[in-house]
Amino acid sequence: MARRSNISKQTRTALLALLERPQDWCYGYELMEWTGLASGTLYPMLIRLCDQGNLEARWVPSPHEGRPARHAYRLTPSGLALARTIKADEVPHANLGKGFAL
Amino acid sequence: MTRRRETNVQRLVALAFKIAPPERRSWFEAMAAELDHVPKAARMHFAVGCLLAACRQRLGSSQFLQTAASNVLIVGAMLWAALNIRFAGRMSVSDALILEAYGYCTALLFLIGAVVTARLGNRATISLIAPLILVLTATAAFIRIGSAPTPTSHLYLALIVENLAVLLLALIVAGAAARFATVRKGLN
Repeated sequence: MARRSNISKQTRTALLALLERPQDWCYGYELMEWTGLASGTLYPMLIRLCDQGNLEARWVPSPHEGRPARHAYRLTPSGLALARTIKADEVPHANLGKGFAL
Repeated sequence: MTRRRETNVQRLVALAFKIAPPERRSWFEAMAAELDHVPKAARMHFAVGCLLAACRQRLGSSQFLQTAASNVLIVGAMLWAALNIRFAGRMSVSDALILEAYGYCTALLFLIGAVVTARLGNRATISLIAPLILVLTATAAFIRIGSAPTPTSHLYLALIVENLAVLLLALIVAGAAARFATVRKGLN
């Protein structure tokens, strides 16, 4: 069973946002828009989720010529299980897309 | 967005990259790449977030904490050694040979501790401090129980208790740093 103790509200929000598109690779700025989390909160969380094996990351070439490749993220099977556990408990309380906060 | 503001944004991201611990640099490359896809109006906000993330990663990295703890222990040990040399110097003026020797021995031990910490790290400090605490505690107990309460015995006891307090403080710092490193290793 996925470990879900000591998960912050922000991490739950990010996991639920990623669960909305479980097969798609999401970009950092997209996640910031969906969750309302600032980069200073979101990226350390993504790093931690990757370390725990709940998130995978890869470089995706930009479709626009001359623009750099982007780092994209997707939940791993264990991350999906964790996010589903959280969703089962907390969907009524989820609050996505509130806007930015530093 | 003005050119100057854009330059400041780039500087902030470059600074974040420099501050980030080496093992996390790829994440800050990712943030720098993402910046190009952030709307211009939100770039400064994004860059400040990058900088905060880099500081958090740096402060939370076990290497940084180990180094900081080592430096605190080394500086503390050298400072305490210096104070003991000063104390021994004062005792030599008043011909208190035992106290003078005690001061110089303590200073020597703390200097050895500083060198050991610098060369071998915090765990070696713990191995050095733990037996020393036991010896000093036994000596203090012997003076307290086994000798008559005179002003001289009280002075010896006070000096030992003083050193015990300093050693316990050093043990707490070294132990906390070693424990944190173990926890971080477990997480990664």
